[in-house]
Amino acid sequence: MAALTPNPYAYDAGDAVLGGNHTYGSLTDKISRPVLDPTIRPGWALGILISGSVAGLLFVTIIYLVFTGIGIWGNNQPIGWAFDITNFVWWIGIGHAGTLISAILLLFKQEWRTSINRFAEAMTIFAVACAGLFPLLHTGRPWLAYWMLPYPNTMWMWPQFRSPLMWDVFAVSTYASVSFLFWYTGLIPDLATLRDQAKKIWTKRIYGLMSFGWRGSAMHWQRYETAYLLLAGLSTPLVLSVHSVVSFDFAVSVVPGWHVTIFPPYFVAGAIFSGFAMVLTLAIPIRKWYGMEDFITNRHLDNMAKVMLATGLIVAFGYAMEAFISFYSGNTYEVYMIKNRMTGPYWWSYWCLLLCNILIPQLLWIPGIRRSAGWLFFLSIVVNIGMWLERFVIIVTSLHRDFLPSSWSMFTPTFWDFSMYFGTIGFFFFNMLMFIKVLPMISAFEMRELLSKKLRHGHYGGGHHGGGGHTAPSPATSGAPAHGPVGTEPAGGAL
Amino acid sequence: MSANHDHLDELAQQDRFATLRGKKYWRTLDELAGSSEFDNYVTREFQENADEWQGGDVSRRSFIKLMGASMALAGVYGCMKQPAGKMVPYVVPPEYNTAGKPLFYATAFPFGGYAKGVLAEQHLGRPTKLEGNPEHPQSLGASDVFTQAAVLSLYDPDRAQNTTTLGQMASFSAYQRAVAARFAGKPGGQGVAILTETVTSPTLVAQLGTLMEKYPDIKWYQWEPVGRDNARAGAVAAFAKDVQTIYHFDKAKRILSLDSNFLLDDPFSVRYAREFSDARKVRFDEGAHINKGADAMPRLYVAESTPTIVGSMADHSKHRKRLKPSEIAGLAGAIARAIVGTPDTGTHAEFVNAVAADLLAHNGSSLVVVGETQPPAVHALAHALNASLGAVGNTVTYIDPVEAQSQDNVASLKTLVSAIDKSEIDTLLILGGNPVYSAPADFDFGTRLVNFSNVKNADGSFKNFSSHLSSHYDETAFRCQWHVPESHFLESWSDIRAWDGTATIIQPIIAPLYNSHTPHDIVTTLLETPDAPAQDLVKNHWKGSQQGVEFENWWRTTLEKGVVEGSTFAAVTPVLNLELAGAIAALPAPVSAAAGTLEIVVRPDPTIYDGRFANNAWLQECPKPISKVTWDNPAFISRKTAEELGLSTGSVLTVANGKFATDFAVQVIPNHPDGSLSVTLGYGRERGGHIAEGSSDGTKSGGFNANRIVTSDKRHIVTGVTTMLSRHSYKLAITQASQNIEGKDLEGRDIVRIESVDGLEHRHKHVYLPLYNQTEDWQKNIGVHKWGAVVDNNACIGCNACVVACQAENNTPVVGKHQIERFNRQMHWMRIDQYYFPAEEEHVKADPSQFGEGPYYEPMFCQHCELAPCEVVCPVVATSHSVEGLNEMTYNRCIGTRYCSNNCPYKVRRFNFLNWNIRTEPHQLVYNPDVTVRQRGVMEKCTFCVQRLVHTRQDVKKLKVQIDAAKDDVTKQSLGDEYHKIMSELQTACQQACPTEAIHFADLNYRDKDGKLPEAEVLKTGDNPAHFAVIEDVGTKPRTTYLARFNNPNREMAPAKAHDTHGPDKAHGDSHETAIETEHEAAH
Repeated sequence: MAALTPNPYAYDAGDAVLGGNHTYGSLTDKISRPVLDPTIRPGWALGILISGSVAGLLFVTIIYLVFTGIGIWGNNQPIGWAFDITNFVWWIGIGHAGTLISAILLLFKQEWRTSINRFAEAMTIFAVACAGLFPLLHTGRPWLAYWMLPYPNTMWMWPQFRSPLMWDVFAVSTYASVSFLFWYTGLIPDLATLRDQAKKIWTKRIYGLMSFGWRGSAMHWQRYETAYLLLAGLSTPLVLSVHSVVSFDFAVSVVPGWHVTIFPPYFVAGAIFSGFAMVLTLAIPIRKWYGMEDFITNRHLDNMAKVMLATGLIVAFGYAMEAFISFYSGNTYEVYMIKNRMTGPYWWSYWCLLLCNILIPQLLWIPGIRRSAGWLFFLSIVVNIGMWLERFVIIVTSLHRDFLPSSWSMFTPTFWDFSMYFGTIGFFFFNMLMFIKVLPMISAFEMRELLSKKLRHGHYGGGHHGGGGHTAPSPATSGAPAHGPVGTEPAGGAL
Repeated sequence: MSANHDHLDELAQQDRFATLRGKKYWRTLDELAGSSEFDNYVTREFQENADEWQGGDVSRRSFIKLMGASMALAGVYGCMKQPAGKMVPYVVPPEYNTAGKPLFYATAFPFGGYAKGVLAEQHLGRPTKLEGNPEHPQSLGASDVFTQAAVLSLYDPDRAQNTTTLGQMASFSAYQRAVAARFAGKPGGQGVAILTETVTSPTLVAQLGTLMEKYPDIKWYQWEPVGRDNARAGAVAAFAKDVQTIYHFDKAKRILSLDSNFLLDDPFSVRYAREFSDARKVRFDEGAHINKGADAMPRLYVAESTPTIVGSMADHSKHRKRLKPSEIAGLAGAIARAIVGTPDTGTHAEFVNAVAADLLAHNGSSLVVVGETQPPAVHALAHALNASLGAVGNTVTYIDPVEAQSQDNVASLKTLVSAIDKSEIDTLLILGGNPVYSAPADFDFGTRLVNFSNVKNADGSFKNFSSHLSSHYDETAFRCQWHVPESHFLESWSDIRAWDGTATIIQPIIAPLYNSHTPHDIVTTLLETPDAPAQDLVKNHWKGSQQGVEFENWWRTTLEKGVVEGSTFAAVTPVLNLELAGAIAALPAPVSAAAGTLEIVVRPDPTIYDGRFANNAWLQECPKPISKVTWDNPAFISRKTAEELGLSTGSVLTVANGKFATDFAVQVIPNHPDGSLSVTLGYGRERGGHIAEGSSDGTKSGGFNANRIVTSDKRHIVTGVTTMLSRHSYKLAITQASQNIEGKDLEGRDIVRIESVDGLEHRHKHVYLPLYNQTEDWQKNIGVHKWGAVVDNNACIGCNACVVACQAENNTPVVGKHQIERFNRQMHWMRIDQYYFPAEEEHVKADPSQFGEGPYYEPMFCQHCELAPCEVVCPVVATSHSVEGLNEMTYNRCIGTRYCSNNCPYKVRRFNFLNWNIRTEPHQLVYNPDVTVRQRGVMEKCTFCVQRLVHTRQDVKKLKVQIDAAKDDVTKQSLGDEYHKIMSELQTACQQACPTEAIHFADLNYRDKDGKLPEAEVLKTGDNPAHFAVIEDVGTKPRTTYLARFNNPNREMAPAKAHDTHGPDKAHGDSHETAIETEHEAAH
């Protein structure tokens, strides 16, 4: 029996999808406690203070930008887009993990998604909000940006549907609205739980309003399940379409380095890659600070790391093909473009990108690293940087030297380029912290569902949901305690 | 409405007052009077007329109707705050004026004392643009960068606006009184000195003549910073008299230029450029046979001390000698000796002997041209050479000097300085110019002038008197007691002669904006004649010289034409009293540079000249040819010398000529001679306007004052200069780095094509085979007009006239040095791209400063692609294609995503990153009312001057209707003629300005009276091997296409090699070329 010999791929107790020795009550309490506990943790307050200040910088930047013009950034003549669209694509990409986790993994019945989907979806919404700021504010006259919407007007003008920017408008707005609906629908049963648990009258009322009168009747559950599944079905193509459309902004143009047919799949893979990196960046500290190790277990980290590894390899293939096709095409401009990326003035960005997105993530082949929160946190930051650089390389190094050398130039960011970028990061974290404080960061009812399965099946340790796939030994489905005692650590906190 | 009232009878009222007793308070007299009106008032709820219609039978229907109309009309007023002001109708409208249509007046732009003939465009009383006057011999309808920008100087807010004394506001009459007081007790004008610039104005000369007669002791000095002193001295040496040289490049087949920049900063350079390029134009007949062979096409040899646009027109890198300024005399001597019959054996033997042989072989059509930087002996030698080559009377003619009192300016100023030192003068009137800034450093004119102005008598009054007439309160004005603002030429009556003597009456286009005056006014004051309007002065002067004609008629015709008939100076034939051998012997001995010293050659700046345009933002921002630097005048240096001195572009070098030292930032530029620096004048201004002065943080102009190291004995060539590297560095705003076609950067991009004129017999047009099956829609011709352009790279000399013309026409803003230096943001719709072709690899390796041939110029503006990549990516359809083939930009629709610019392969789109348009008086008066002033956040680009096209389109449409309606053939005929006139007069601003007619823009559908195609269509169609589209392989199908540059290398020096013809075949390989030719043959 496989169980008799130590298997390097075997999961230990911490690798269960649901750790600890929870009851329905303890589980619910633990998830809703950060929300209902009136005490303000000093760490949380400090986080709000820092991220809020940085978000304030974003506010100042936006005011200055709208009053003065795009000229406060470093964008210039050949380089019409720089940090603005780099950041836009980066943020949109980050959002993708949320949708993937909530929709695709749901459809594939990957139950390990349950404990991370809620805040991954929240992350998606906040990331899309940050992303949306850039295309809106990077226009020269943002107060007229609504002209991109097809609305009946006295000018008798329609937007131009041939422009990829129009496709962007639809793709991103659809994505944002569907993501929000999906997230909110999933929140309703939990909001009802909060309503029921809340002690204070206003808290009760607010959660009551937000839960739309959820009573948990069988009819409710039946409709909920249908709606949730439908939304998952609706979101699934969005995971693929949004970043494909974003990639069309580049692929449809004539600029060497942009006009690349491999862009749609390569952008989607990159988006998931960076999205999972961001989920890890958020999940690892949160689970530590809130003692959520029972819910976000090493098993989750391991699965996410595997997704990262897989998408990272797709991205690496994309880079390789990009370079190969450029050389192989023999096209003057393409050959020059790739040489310029590798050896031109922005060579450092290209090689840093390869280092961050290809070389360093290869560490994920090592199981120990996949299950080490510290390592993964480090890797997630590296990948976040790498994916930002990828967009910078595509946008800036392609534009700065295109067809006519007489126009070649360099891009140097200004203070306001950075303040806008870091401002959105501040805004993002501010929103995330607020979210943690006012909404359950983990889907409590889905966790209860999971618990019920666990209680029915005994230890619930992967089974047919195992993210390990074919490499992992298939544990007995009989429920034999194959992997040691359950709940080696006490349930976090006194609850 | 008071018709219904019962008015009180006054008498009745008085009766009531009489009956009232006791404390009875009353509110109004009416109550007191107990009137029925008051009772009525108290009882009524609303005032009378407020709640009922008083007009009789008003129906509800008509009430609603009126209310509706009121509401509608309220909307008419609506929303916008109307400008407050009085509206006065034209009781008598200005003659000839149709609102919306400009008027053109002929006048002349004085430049260094000589006329540039212009037509000033006036919109409702304000001049907005200058065009060349086709009647004028200097202009021939074209213009240059200075002329194009001159109108901006009129609206310069920094212009002096009032007469001042010691910086305090005064009046011109006070000035006149002060001058009169000065002249009291000076019957002969003792101690009075007048300092002028070069004077060619016949009226002013006559006035000054009268003045000298009246006051024989007045001294007249002259100082022109960029004059013809060396040429004058050279002529005197050769002919024993002062003559002025006029070149005829149209007749020249072999040209040797000795450090001359005849295409750019000569007073006659617009004409020279036309003649030069006309002779070089290469055309093909239907069988692709070339119109001129190597012998018929002019060939240019250049020896120069600074890379200039003339040098870039040399026919081969071997035809261009980079020499230190002092070495050029030696080279000229060697060529002269070779022509006499002693072949050279020195370093430049190959060049010298080949040039000599070539010049000799074209006896009668050779030409030697000398620049003002060269010493008189070289000028004298050139005269002797031209004489021995049979050039005189053919390619060279002589005239008497056009300037009045032709004299050596340095000597003249020196006399003035010594007169000041010896206190021989006590009254100094400076009429124009800025000698404090521009005088040689050893004269220390500024200090002398301050001291002169400050000397006081015992009673504390000023002993001396100094006054200055100039447009700005500049360095000189600051040091004089009085300053009188000088009128801009567009505000003045005057007259002036061109380089060949042709006179033009300067007429005002606008009344003076400020209390400014002309030199005529000052001299009138001195003459103590009553203030005569300058118009009368000029008119009376010409009345005297035009006897026997109906004067008023003559005056009007002359004003209209812009040229005084018969005023051109007749050619003279001076007797050469210098043998060639003697001229060679007279050449200065070669200077052996002391170790560690450099030479500096000082030239006028290609955009701000001697500093007189330093406050003109259009000229400051215009990228200078070759260096592509804006807002500055770095010292140019070769790569090799820079490396030796440890410098790079932006390093600051302190240079010293003896005790005179100044700082210069350096810029490494290709093809600069080693061991020398080139600097230009005009920068480093202390006063003279916000732009001229620059700012201390280097974000604005500033530049470096070359005059600080120029001394009277070393005016153009400063030898023995010591240098010291400063630790500072300086930021330069350079718009285009030097690019090397076929260098590692370009890898054979099909951007410019360079052909040899003798290798063309059997070449065919390159045809690109697109990979995809492209739609042929672009060839559909659905509009009435089909606008298109062909740019002749062979004609372009890179002079920038088109760049500034476009800026003036299209209200293009200026962004400032910081925006260019830090962000590389420019707004020019038109730019001159320049590319180098490596000479020969081993050559470049041996000598890193030798960058190669070129630069080759390529005017670049919106190509109006038939398949425009910009159009499809705009999300709001702000850029679209017209049926006439224009790529149109709808500013109001633009939201500024900049996607169009990213997707433009030519990068010709310009984005308003910030709000750069100035909307303040008086600057905004310069705006062309036909063109939108763009706000920030909006993309803009070349429109092919759509405002001009629209005017023409309207006129033509109207005419066509009239032609169709015309009953008789005579009317039809005359309307037809009108139609052809309108169509043939249509030009874009760049096309109109271009001195070499390099830009052929036309309605490609137009056929002239004889059914002939427009030039642009002729050049486009058929098998013209010179015709190509820039980066055609991108597949944009541009409506703007180009013609290859043609060189005519001397095969003795530069034998034909495989890559002498640099076409796209280099990039695509020979097999590709064969395939193309096969395809091409098959197509026939």
